[in-house]
Amino acid sequence: MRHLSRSLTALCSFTLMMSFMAPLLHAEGKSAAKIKTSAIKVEMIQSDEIKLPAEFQVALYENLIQQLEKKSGVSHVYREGDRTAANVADLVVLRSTVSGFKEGSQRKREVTTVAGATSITVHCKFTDSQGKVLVERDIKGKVRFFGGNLRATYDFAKKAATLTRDNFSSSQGT
Amino acid sequence: MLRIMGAILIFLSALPTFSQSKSAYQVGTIMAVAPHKESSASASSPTSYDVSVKVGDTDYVVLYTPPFGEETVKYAAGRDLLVLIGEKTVTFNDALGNSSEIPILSRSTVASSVTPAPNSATPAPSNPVPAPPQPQTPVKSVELVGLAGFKDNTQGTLTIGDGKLHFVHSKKTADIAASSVEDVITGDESQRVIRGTAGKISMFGPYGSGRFLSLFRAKLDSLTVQYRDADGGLHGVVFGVPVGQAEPIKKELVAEGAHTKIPAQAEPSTDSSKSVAMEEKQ
Repeated sequence: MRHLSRSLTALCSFTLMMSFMAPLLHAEGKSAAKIKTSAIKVEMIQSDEIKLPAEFQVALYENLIQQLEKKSGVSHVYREGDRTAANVADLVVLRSTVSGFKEGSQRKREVTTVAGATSITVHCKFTDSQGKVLVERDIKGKVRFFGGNLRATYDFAKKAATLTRDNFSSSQGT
Repeated sequence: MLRIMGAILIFLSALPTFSQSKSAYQVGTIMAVAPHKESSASASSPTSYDVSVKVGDTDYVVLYTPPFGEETVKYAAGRDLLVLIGEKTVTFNDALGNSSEIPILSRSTVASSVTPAPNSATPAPSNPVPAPPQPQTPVKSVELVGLAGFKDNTQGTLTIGDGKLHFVHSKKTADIAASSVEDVITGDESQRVIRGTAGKISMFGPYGSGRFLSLFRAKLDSLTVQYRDADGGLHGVVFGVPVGQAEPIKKELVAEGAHTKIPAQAEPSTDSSKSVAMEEKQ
């Protein structure tokens, strides 16, 4: 009986300890997998195959830069063509190509709530300065209920910033 | 006796067709809206507007006084509506179905190919060759995205001068040198007049009224500008401007030294705006 009681106490202690330690171990494992970089350069959104309105292309680009600056955790975000980015050794370049676009209608969304959704699918490719692919993913931006069609670009940008934060960490100040 | 009665009944049943009024509602297009001169001189915010409505080949300038001092009519250029033309008045139904009768100030015959020129007080001339629409700078606009130092969807005024594009919101100003502009593209983007937080809350109005309210929208043209900063970094800004104003602004900007990949005349901006407007109506 005493033996059983000891075993149960040990099991409970182990379970309790693991419940506290597991998130820490998981986070440690995650951060270890992240690629360190001090800056990211965003290229203008390409849409060779998909006919994308100019305002969507620019909104995708600008929202992406805004969200990367806010949420990605990378120290510096450069724009396409920025000459000062040439001096950064561990620069990551983000090239985005629109692979799907469906322009909905704000009015339909607000009147029906089920029709008129706008969606944009963008293929994001993160490479190093030598062109080696580091991360590659398709990201979808959507606007379903309210907001103008351009809001789909904001949704995409937020998801792209989250993807960047999950895969890259700043090499400065760590 | 029965035959006579039958003949009288047939005559009586056919009578209403002869007595019907010849007047009928027609589709009119709002060509321009400008503050009425007397009201604009007496008050800072005008209470009445000269609205130019084109019906067929005739352009009617009517005096419209919006209820509750609303200013949404300022952005109504390019919109179609059903009107009943009288001798001295024009009757129309608003979105809530209320009939309003407004006085005609003047009427003139115009060529059928005249392009709508919003916010222009001058009625369309009667000569067959219309003048190209001129921007009335400063143009009221909305910075939709991309301008550094401004939040998205900031309302302000757009002016072009001294080789620059200026955007002013309260006391803040942003300048873009025309020579640094790589591309200017016009397009269209519709946006609600009732928008922002109030617009979102109105969605949840009782008995579906919120959804009905969302039908009130002003059409906006978009003006997309791509330019380079001093380090060569590429920037993009999207402005929303009143319908018909994007093209003149683009021309003015190109005249100041901006570059564009699509020449202004080749771009079917007005047509695309109309097609989207038509789609929205359906």
